[in-house]
Amino acid sequence: MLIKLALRNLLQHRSKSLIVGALMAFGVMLLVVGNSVMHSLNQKMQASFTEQYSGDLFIYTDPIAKAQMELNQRLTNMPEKARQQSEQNRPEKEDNTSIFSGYGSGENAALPQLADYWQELSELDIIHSLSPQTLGMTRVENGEGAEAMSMFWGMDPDNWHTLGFAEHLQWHAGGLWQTDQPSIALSKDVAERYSKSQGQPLLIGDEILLTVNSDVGTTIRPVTVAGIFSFKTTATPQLNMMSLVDMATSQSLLGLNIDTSEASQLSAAEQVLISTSSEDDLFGGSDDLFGDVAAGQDNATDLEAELMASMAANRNQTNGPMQQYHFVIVKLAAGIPASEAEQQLQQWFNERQLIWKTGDWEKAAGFMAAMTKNISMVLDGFMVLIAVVSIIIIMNTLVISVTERIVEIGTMRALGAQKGLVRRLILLETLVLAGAAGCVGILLAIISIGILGFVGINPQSAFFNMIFGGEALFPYLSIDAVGNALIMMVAAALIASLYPLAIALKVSPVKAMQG
Amino acid sequence: MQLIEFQQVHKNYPLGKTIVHALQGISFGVQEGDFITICGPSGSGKSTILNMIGCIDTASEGEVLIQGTHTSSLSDKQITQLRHRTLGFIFQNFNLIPVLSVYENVEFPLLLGAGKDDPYKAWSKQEKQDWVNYLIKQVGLQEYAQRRPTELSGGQRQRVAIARALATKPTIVLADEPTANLDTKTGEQIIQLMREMNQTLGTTFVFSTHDPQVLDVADHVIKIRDGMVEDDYRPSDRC
Repeated sequence: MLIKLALRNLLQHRSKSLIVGALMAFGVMLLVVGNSVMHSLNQKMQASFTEQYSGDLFIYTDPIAKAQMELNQRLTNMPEKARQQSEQNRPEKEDNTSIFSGYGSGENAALPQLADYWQELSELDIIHSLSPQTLGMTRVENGEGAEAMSMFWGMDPDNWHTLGFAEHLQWHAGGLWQTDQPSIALSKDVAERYSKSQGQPLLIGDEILLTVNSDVGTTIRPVTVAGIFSFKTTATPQLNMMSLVDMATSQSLLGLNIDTSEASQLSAAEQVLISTSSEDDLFGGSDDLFGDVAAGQDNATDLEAELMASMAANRNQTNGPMQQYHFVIVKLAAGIPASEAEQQLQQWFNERQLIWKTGDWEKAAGFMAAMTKNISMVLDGFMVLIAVVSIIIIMNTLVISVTERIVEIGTMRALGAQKGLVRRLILLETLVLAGAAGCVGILLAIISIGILGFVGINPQSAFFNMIFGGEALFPYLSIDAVGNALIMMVAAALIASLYPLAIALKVSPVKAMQG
Repeated sequence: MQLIEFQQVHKNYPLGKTIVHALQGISFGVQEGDFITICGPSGSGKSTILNMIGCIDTASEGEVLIQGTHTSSLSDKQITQLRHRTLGFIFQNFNLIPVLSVYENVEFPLLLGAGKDDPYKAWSKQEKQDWVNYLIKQVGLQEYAQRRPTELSGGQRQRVAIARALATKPTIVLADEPTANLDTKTGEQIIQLMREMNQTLGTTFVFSTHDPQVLDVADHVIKIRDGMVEDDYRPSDRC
């Protein structure tokens, strides 16, 4: 009877039902379309990152734990009073690490103890493959005035093939290097800027110089251009200037190759110059500043070997010379959810007292993912605003509807209807209306998303092209968005019905007598 | 024991800055099965008395007893239950539910019960149908059972209201000026119908009116003026 009454009341007050229903349907449509677009965007971005650059997870040094550890070490050597003061002034450290930022140069920037746990980590069941990498910023130059700036990842081509990243690189010339020779695959944008600066095209096989200015000084290394590429999709602007450098060179540039010795690689002209010159020729011979170089050379070699052994011993190094990396890209075994793996890995790190941390693709993406999250939040805020306005309009319409039915409600109460029945009736009417409007809204959203998915959203803007991971976004319907919109609509309808309900429950049976 | 008993009932309510004394120490009693008219000019307090019998208004002073129960001591839930099981209402403006048919309007009070001890839950669906159809037939509207109130005349609507008031087999039916919105002839028919139902079912009818012609059919007349009982008599006693 109540359902019959509710339905007939809604039909009886057709115009009001239509106004409220249309508002609700429009709200649901906006919610579903908005959230579906954001969901599609997020999925596309996630695919861009996990398939091309970030893997499922990445492992990096926890900057907060590291800062804490360093502070604690300093505090232990401080007098009590100074320690208390330092404790009070403990600096707040933020974790802004991504695969594009948050590192530095030198030993301190590296992921600590990686060599010690590498084998154990790579044998974990949840791991499919790992790729240790470095990150840096270099000046690409030829020593004759041509130059361009580039970011670079130090990486191993074999690892990128295993991760599947290599398959997504689009080659404009050459390819990934296959030798141990110092090599670089240049980003197309960087190569174009360099070529423009040089006045002629950069060719595969050209030798260029990479210069890195860092905490450990200025390092220059010559590399051979192995290829010019671009990523299939560039989901963040940094990727347009991201080049790939062989691991040994990148470590050398970033001061991450401590405890290793490397031979100077000199050109033929430089070797002739050095072989025909002595220190006396270069620095003058009146004062024998360096003594007999030839006599001291053996001693210097012994000293270097002794120093290396001592450094390794001091670091409790067991696996030979330390290979230093900034972060490790992780591809998970099939079917392992990233969130679960993240927890498991974090527990694994904690058990070994490692100051490592894992991040998912959003963390790896850095500001770009944060920006889409912010866009999503702005959209959510907009939706909340729509919901609030809708609630107010729905509430007003329901109040008018209840006010017009005061005699009817009073009559029901006089005939013996308890307040609970009146409450159920009003709520049922609201829910029936919300349900019907929700279905219409979802239908409209399905049609809208279908059209958008067919023609695509193409605002023809570089910014949107980047966050869309291509020229256009072809959104699809998100089931989560449908569920959320329905829940939100029902919640909004229930909230909107609270005040009219309060009015209805206050209606006295005497109103029936007053007619 | 009297079915309804008013003991020195006062009703005061504020109107702006003044206090209106709607009832000023009214006392009377009603016997079960009576057909009672409460008459008096407009503003005399007739509707206030009906509201108090119907437990939709409370006394400022004094006591109203229904079947020996002090209505002032009942909770909102108990009062609603009392209205549902013991009282039936006929309104001046009919107050039918516009979206329900004649049949559904008459059936409606039977569906309002709450709680395990609701006597109407014990009725089978067939029993309910038979009873509703019987009432509709009694008020002469069997051909209009599926019509909506908007498709009926004033007199027909009031007949539906009478049938609805009797649906729960109440002990008392209250009618607030039931003929006020009807023409004289239809009004007489409605009074006649109520009288018939009173005699057929033994239900006590209490109705307010300012129409002196109606007094002729009443068992018991209570005349009200300025919130006080001016006269309280049984016409049969004066013959």
